Amino acid sequence: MRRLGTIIRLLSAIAPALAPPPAARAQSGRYAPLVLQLPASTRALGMGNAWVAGRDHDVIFYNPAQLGVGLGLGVSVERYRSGSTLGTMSASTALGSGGIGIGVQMLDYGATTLFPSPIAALASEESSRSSSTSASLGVSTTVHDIRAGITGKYVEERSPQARGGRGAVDLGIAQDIWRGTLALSVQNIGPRLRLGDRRAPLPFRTTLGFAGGGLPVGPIDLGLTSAVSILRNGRVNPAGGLEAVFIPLDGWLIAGRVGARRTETRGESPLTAGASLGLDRLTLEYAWERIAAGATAHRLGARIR
Amino acid sequence: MSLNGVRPLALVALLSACTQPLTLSKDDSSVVLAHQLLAAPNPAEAGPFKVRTLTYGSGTDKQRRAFRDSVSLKTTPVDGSKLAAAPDPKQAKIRKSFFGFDFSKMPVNGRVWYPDGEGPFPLVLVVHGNHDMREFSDPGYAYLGELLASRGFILASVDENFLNGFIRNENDARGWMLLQHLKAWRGFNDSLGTPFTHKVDMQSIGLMGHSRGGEAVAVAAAFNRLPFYPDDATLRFDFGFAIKALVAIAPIDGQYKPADQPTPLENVNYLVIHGSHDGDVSSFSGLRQYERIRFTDGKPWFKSAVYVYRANHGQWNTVWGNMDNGPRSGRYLDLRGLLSSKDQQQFGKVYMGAFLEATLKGKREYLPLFRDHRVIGQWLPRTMYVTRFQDAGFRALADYHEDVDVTTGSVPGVRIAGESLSVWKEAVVPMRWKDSNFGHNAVWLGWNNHLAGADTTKMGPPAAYTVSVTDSVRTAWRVSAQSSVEFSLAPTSARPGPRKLKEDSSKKTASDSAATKADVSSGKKEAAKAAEDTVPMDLTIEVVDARDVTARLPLSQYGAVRRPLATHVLRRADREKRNFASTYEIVLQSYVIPLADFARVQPGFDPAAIRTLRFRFDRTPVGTVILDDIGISSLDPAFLIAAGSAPR
Repeated sequence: MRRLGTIIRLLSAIAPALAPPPAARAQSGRYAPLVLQLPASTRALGMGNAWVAGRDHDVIFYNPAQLGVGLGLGVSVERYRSGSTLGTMSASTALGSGGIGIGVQMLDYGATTLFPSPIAALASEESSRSSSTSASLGVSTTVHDIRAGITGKYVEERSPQARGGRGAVDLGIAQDIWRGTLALSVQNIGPRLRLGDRRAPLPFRTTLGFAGGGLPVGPIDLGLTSAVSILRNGRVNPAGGLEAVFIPLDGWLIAGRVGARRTETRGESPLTAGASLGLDRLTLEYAWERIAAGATAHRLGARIR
Repeated sequence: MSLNGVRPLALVALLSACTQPLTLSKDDSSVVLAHQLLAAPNPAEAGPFKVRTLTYGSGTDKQRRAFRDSVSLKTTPVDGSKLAAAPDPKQAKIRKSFFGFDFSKMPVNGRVWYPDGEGPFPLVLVVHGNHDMREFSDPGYAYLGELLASRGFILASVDENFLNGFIRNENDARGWMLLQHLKAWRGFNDSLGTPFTHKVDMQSIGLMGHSRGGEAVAVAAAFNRLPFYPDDATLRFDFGFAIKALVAIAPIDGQYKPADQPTPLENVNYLVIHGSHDGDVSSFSGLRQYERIRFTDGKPWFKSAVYVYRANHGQWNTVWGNMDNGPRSGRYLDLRGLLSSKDQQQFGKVYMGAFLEATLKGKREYLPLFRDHRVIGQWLPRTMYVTRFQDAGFRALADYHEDVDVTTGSVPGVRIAGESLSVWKEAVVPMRWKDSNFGHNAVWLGWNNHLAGADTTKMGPPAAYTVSVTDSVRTAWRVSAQSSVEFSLAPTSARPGPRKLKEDSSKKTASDSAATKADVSSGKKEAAKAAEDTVPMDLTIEVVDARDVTARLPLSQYGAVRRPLATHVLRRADREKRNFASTYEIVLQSYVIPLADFARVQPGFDPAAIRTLRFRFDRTPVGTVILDDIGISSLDPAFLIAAGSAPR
């Protein structure tokens, strides 16, 4: 526990370095749709949203190569402000030497005249009038110990005035090394999204990361995850997190998580945190983040293995 | 109380509700182990020899100095690539990276404890089983090495860590490696200038193995007499060592099957021990090998199996400890009921020490404890034991293998009859593991001497099960006053319903009791719960001679008559139920009753003229037993010291 405290203090100390530069404070966003720029997993959010090498049912949102590694079905919901709510559903199962998965992300948020919508729009108190949606289907396979996967998805952005949709593709590879997984994904490959007469690029990003777990420290098992993303504009976003798991009895799981990430907007906290309680096949998840304008968001999730 | 104080308490309460209560059978050791009838020196106590140690091996070990710079004797690696393979290329790479060699260059490494004396001394090899390959298992038998060397044995703990980890179907390689070590030992003994020159008694060799190593000793003994590797005859065998004793410690069975058959074994002394609370090999699988051992050459071999209540898998090895499935297995294994490692190892020292003394040094004074553990009450840790035993002089009247006719025995002319039985059927004995069995049949006998009806005190004549002994059998087997009746029996907790009037049990009547069926078909055992019996059981063994002189003895005089011992190895009851067929293992206790004892209680009885052996269920009004291996033995009298004199 003392080690965990040290880690939290360390993350707090480096947090200012992860804060956005003044140049990042743009009024409108850079990319669309908005939903593809938000954390898609409750567990991942608690660890800085660094999940490219993750092993869970929701990896379809991060790296299709990991499909079939973590099996199950899960849902999550995150309330940003009274006007913005994100919901996700995902599932992954084994298929041959790989896996198959599906995922849906749906975001309702306050109306904005800006396109692409900025993440700050999530802090709006307005009732939901815009939406952002993504529906994905992915498969993976294993060749010579290397997993490779592809996800096809349809993304859509809606404003009160217009609606625009587009297909996109994610690619990923992963390999297990030294008690963990090293993974690379290239996400949101596709043409620009058009909404009315305005066009915006998809949030294309390349992410490299490592995740490992099961490191015993006393009665606790420690896991870590890390990722570095390079965005279309060359911006580099590092992120990482730690997970401490205590299993008092076979089938029971209590986990605490802490993470850090480079933020996009002022007022957003680089720190995230989360927890989960597992009872046999059911796990209840919670995560916390502070989004734009200092608004605090809570995310709840449930998954069944 | 504040909310902060309530939360931890609530969590503890919730966890307690999910963890099943500790359930152990009532301990009867204060009675069963009340006496020490064997007068020999305690085989678990150090002997007169000063103990020396050394290591031998390749001298190139990447991980351990003991097998690199410190080897006293160098050995040449052997090519085992025809017998073992990594499960996949990735594992092969990991293994080679860690050990620095593959299966084509397996080192012959061993740690030796030996007596400081002239010798020659019997040679014993002990080999570990599967474990984390990075946590070396071979030092974990030092407690046996120290003991045995002080008592005049050479003990070598064989390094087979390179066969550990994520690997399967390699037990042929484990057994073959033991024989390679014996070859090395032949060299140490024959060569001049080694610490063992002419000090090794190569005519008195024992092999001991734990877990997968427990199966490996049987494989080694089988390979020892074969000219070729059964699965690839391009590999020639040329061993032929004088292996006289095998000890299997919590062994598995059937991981390797030569030519797809269970490993056959004959003409060797065999001891198998197993803990009821084994969290790894959670069924007494060594009993399958025990059943397969045959004695065919007329020499005085014997086999013994001891089931140790509350012993686990790992504590036989000091490196492995009490977490039978790795350092995190305490999350699901219930460790509360386990014997202490000290007690478990004390049992191991007593039984393994005595077995090696008896079989490799001819110290016959230890033989009785392999027949009846009650004779060494002061040497054994206080827990419960079940002992199976059979000697080379045993001849089966009924071992339930020969046919499906319940009225015929295993020898032509031997007839079987049942009287007033509620249950009478032959079936394979199930294991605690789901969908597994011990590979041999037994007979289920159930009775209820109460008569059905309003008067619940009304009793019918006692039920009985009778086996005839023909003239030809008596003659061929030379039955005499020195012969003994032998059989193995286990009561169950099933209670058949009251006896119906005019019941005819001369036919198979198994359908009468759903409860007893449950013991055979483990999936239905819950049905028996409502009628489970906990009353102590006893019955009468009756013999009749050719002149109709009848003699009777109570069974309990010859061993504890116990229902199956409650076994819960997991912390969660639902997992226990899901993973296992039952919460007990059916382990039959062997009973040896000298015919002379019958003559003693009924002076007119002529043992040489025994005509009938009868099990009379007259001492417990209701019950069910499983019975097997009924026969007559011309037992070595050394086994019989104190037989029958131990109280229950």
